[in-house]
Amino acid sequence: MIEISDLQFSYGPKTVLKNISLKASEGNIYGLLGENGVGKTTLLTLLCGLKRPQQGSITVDGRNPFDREPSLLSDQFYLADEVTPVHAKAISFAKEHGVFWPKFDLDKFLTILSELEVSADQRMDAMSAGQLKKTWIAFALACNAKYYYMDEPTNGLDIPSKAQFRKAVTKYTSEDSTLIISTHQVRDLENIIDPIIILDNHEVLVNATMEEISAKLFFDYGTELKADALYLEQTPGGCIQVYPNSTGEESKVNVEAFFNTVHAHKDVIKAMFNL
Amino acid sequence: MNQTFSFQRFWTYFKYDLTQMWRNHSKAAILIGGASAIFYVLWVMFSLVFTQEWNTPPISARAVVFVIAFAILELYQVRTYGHLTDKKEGSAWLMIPASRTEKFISMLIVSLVVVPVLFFVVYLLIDGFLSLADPTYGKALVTGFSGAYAQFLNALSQVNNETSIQFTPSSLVFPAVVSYFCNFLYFLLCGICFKRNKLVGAIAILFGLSTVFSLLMGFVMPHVFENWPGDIDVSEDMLRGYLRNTVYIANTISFLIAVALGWGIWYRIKTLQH
Repeated sequence: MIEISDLQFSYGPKTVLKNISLKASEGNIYGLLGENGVGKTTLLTLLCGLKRPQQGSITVDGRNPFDREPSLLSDQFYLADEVTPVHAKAISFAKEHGVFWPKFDLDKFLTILSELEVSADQRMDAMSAGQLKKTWIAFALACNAKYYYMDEPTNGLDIPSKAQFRKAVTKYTSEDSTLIISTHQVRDLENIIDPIIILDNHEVLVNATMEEISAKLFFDYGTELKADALYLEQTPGGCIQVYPNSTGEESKVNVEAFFNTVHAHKDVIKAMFNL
Repeated sequence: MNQTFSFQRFWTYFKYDLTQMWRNHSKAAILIGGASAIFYVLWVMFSLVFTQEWNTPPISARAVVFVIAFAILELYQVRTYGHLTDKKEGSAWLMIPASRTEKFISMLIVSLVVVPVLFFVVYLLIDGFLSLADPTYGKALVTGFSGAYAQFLNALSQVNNETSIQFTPSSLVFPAVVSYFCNFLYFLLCGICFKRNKLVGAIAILFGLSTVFSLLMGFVMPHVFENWPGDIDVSEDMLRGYLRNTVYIANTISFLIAVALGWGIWYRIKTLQH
């Protein structure tokens, strides 16, 4: 269980996160969304212990990530947006690094890497940005960690690789693993992320499951315009409308439309989700 | 699970650290260690071009090159773990599941023992090989070292007899060893503190500190000696006392500096953020 309480973090005079409180329970793939500069990467680096909270606290299973205790480090994996090109073949890198994660599975690494169409014998410092990212993704998933913090994991991946990433994440993470994935590419991941956390300047706007979102908002893909729509977007052959779900009818959540709805009506949405 | 230190985890991490060190810095280490061969080739080449004779560098020049190569090795410490300040590489390093104590100890062993030993082995092997391969090259440096140590012991014995100050070899070797630790630790610390211009920063701080100490001594010394900076009236007994105290104080200060630098490195590892 990840618990964040009254978290605050600033870069000099610029406050990025202020009074952030949220809980993330086990076995979910959280989508961490927000505009540029709202503190998504900062939050992820705080969660994995790369940064120290200036105020408030973060605990992961009761442990402080900034203590960087080996037991917690071997339970988690932070996949940065920009990964480092190791001066070694992918297979050597995996063998050398994997020994630190007790549940690391080399066969799994090779399988995922093969599915992502990257050669294990290729030197990482000679790989393209996409291949390098895929190698790190394969390594991360092969670590069989309990907590994953992934910052823009689909950045730099080509279209087939994005689908392979989704498949790998759902196939190769255990049921009790918790993933927090920060992304701008919501369409790449909307089928796997649930719940959704939306960050705004200094605050959490939403932390809700797809079921909760669907219960409170209706996503209408028809052509008939609604007067009470909170959000309307024209699409080829119709439109997407988001309005309060007064009938209790279920609809498929469109994450991008939801994100835009939240940003257009922050107070309404916060009140709706009791934040 | 012990969160501070576990021998098994340390050994795993140390092997990993050595592998990374070899992978990232072996070329530079071999280049610095091979300075004798580079110097030999340049010397012979210039000699052939300008005098049309086969001349090899004299032992004095070879000793100077050895000292310069060792000084470069000291300066190179800013790079051995300098990648820790890089966001990508530093983040990956911090997230390796080993305790900060294990990472710190491994860092000290690699920087203070492994890298210098590698340098000595490579340097002296190449020098020894040149000595065997070219009869005009003269004796290997390693044989010169044993002779130099015998000379050092003789000189020490003379000083002890003439001044009745009983220096032991260890009382003079100790400051040399501590000084060596200080130098390596200083450049290592600067390497993991400065994000850019690591070497320039390290040298600038040394320059600043030496300027401050010079000014401080310039202020203090006239208060200690009446005729400073002219002739100082010091009796032989006073001189003996000063020398004994100076060696003792210098050793203590050097030791404390080495400890402070070590603590600084540990603290930097503890508080490093990306």
